Amino acid sequence: MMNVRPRHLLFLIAGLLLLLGPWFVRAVVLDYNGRAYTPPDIPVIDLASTPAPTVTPVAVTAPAVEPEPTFRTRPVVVDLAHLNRISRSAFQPLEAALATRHIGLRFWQPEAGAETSGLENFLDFPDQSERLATELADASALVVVSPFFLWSPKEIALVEQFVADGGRLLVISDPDVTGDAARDIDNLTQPFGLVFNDDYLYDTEDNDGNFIHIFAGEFLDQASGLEGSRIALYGARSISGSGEPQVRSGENTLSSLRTGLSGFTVAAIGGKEARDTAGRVLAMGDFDTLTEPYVERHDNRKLLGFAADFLAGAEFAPTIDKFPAFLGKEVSLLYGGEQALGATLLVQGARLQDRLAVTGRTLTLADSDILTATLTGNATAGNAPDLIYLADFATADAETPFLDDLGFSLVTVVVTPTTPLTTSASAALPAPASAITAATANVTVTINAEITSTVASTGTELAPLSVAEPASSPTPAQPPAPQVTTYLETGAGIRFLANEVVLIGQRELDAGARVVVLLAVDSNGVSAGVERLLVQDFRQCIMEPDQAVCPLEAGDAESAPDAATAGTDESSPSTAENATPDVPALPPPADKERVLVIDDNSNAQEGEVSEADAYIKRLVAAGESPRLWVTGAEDIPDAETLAGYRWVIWSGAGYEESGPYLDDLGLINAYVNQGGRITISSRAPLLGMAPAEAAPIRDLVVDPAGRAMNQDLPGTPIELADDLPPVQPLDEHFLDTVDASVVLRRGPLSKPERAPALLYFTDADAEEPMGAQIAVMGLSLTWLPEDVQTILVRNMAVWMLEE
Amino acid sequence: MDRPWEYALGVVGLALCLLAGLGLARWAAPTPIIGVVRFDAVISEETAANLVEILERAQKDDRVAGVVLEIASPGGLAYSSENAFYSLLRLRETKPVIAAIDGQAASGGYYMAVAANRIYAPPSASVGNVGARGPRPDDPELSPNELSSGPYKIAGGSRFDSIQQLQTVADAFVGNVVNQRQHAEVTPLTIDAQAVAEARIYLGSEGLALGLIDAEGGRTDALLAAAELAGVERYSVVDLADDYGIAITPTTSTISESVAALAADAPPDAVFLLDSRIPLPQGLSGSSLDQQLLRLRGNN
Repeated sequence: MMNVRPRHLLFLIAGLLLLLGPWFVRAVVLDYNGRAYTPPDIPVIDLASTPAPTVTPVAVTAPAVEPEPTFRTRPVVVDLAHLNRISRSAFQPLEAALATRHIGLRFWQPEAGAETSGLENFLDFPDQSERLATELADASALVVVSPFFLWSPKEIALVEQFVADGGRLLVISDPDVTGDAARDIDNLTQPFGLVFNDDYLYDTEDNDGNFIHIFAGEFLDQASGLEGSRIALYGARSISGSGEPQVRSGENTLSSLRTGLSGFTVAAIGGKEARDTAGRVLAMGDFDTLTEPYVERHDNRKLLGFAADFLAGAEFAPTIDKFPAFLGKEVSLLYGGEQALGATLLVQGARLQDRLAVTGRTLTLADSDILTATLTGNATAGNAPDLIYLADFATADAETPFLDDLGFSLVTVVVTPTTPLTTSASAALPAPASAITAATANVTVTINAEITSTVASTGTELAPLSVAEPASSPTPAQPPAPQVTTYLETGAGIRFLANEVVLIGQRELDAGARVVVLLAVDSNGVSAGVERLLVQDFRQCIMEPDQAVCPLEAGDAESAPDAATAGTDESSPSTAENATPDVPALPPPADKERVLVIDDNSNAQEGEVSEADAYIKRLVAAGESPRLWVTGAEDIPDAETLAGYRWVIWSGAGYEESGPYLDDLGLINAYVNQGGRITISSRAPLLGMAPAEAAPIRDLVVDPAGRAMNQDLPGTPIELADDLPPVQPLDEHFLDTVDASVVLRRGPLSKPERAPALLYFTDADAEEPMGAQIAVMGLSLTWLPEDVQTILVRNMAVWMLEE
Repeated sequence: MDRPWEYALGVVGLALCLLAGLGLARWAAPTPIIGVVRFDAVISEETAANLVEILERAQKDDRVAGVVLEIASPGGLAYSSENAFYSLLRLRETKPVIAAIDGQAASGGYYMAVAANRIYAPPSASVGNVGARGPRPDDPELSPNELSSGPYKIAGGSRFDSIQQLQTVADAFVGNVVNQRQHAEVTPLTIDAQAVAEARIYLGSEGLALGLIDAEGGRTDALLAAAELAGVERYSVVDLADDYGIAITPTTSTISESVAALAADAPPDAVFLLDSRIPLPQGLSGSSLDQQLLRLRGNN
């Protein structure tokens, strides 16, 4: 027994060792359960310090709004036609702000289907200038916010003109609007000197809840009234360029691109003096701040007010070509005279009514009582309706001051031919007249005429104008009938044949009402004028901002084709049968147009006045219909264009930088070598070649040698203004081969005295004369007294246009 | 032992003891393991939940001496990223957690990394992007077919609530990053919170200079560091996802598909801690028309 127990004990011990040994080895020897890890002692941050949710808004008393819409105020147009990815509702605060300023807001929407038109190229987005022109026709301002597609050059040109006319432009490039790309919007703003940068601004220190919600730091110029305001911008771009900064960012605000800078401009006013757009374009780098709910934060509404005030500042001259935008909601139509209305005028009245109805205006037929009340001041100021007054000249002259207001008086001239008829030019007639008669018939008879009566005359009487007519018999069988001609005469003495002219103008009357006056010689003429007004066709018209003098096409007036009935409308006070025309009978046009006036204004400076307009006026007064070519807009005409005209006037004397230049010489030479006739009017007409230094002209004397153009010019020195700019004197011997005739020379008050100021020459002495005629004028026509201008241009026209 | 059968019985008994002892030893003193978890995904509710489950099991698993979290993620949903962050912090209380950045740990991905004891990244990896993103909020409006009891019952809050909430999420992110990295044992943070909040994406080497990571290195360095911190010399490396049978990576293959799926499943006003180089999916960056137009512009 004793031998068994120890063995059993050994087995037991061995078994225990085998059972616990592996654990001992792993746990104690190898220390598989040992962990030396000590976790770091890092406190958890206290998130309870994060801000509480935003406070529940409280009601704030809104400022009282007393909208008093005035119909004449033009609406603001908002561009959405370039697929701007902005909701219309975002404009509601601006719309409301404008409404308190009595200005409406409307959207220029994209065409239906434009968004899904299958456009495959970004640059293929179509030009919409025609639609834009319609939109801007009665608008006061244009708002463009982050357009997705590019503005076309034509659209930009329209906007530029719109701004130059007085409109306002607000352009916003907001970096957090879908598709906003400053580089694309810049093509619209660069003409106004404004450049958006493709960046965004941020401030990690002082912001309105997010790093891109920056605060404005400085208010300048027109926005200086906002100084002290707390205004936030919610994702804004910076603006560069020549614009005047209005709002700048704070000093800690940074740009995502323009590193190293601060004080970024986020609102600026731009425009260019030379383009007449200065101060009329506002650029802003953020739109959100003008929208809900951001506009209610801090003082942001003040910035909205600033933008609305800017847009409301548009000022348009009520030009006649903006008809009917300047009229009020209620308009009365008045026909002048007591005669029964014909169908023609009735139809045009109905068309006017339709035209006004389209724009929300009502046109009602009114009697003369309204006119009387308005003109006599009996209408209550502010309540007097606007008027459209249609009448013939005589009626208008008799019952209203409108003709006088438009700067015209009615002049009727009765000419009684006297016997005997002669077969040669009368010594009493001016030379040009006799020259004119030369080409009208195989047998020429000139009627010796004298003025026997003048019914009304307020201007300078021109010399009696000759009348040339083919004579079938040199011996009159009956005493000639008096010839009656009615003119419209300006205060400057310029006469228009009444039966070939329609006057369209608009004025504001004392009672506050605005009147559109449309006058012609008869109802057909009035009808033609209404047609022009309706379709805004003022081609070939002499335009002033508030009136147009337009020619009547043949057939427009009942009597137009037949001068015998000139001024013989049933309402005309002066009627005569068999009246004959007495305008200077210039040669009829052959295969060429007659007169081209080139306004060489390519180098014109701000504020300089075109001389070409003076030529146009005088030529129209002489019965011509010149074509105006403006080099600033159309570049220099080519040789083919010049060759199409009988007489070219190269007018640059209105500008300090006067052409023609060396580059133009070849063009002029080519024209002259083909027998062209040209007048060069410039302060340096001979490419700078002059016998003496440029000096102002104080006076002029007429040289008797210049017979072709000196008829009726004053025999005494013509005094000019004493503040005229220096011009280069001419040299009558500037080319060896030229035998120039001098018409005007510098007078005794001028230096160098006797230097030519106007001369002319021809190619008559050339081996193969082509009929070329050249007049060189070393001063501006506008510097001359108006009566001298009229005579000189008439003389020049007679000489230049003679066969 | 006069009887032979008694000897035989004794040997058998000893053998049984040995077997039982070996079994007992493996149970009571298992071989330590360094668990590896590879997170190669966008952080969504699903991927984050799977990760959290693995982490929780690893915390309870005595075999696991330390965890290496291998991150290749551009981030994702904010709250999912935060879930992973806090789970990692909890695991770190008991076992060392080492982050090894494989390629990128941006935004929410980096959020996870900063919960680790140490962060290793190769020099050209992308790290940082500490900030939040989200859709622009809509304004409250009425639903024509629904009644609600308060002004913000349908919208959930004002536009400025959304703005502020986004900033709050970002502030918490920045705060946690700064707090963790300022206390980093190896390479503490050298830039301030404002610089972190700029949300830049740094290279791994830049991140080291700024204290956003602890050292340049990869998975191997992370394993050694985990063992070192755990104090184990003999250990085995185990893929915990395989070991536990939990797959992290979703079935979708590309990041853009993952992000699209993420946005589709996320709440409409969800905040994202997502790499800024990845565009938010269509629903968050405009209408289909916007997308069409932007593609048109992109071609020119």
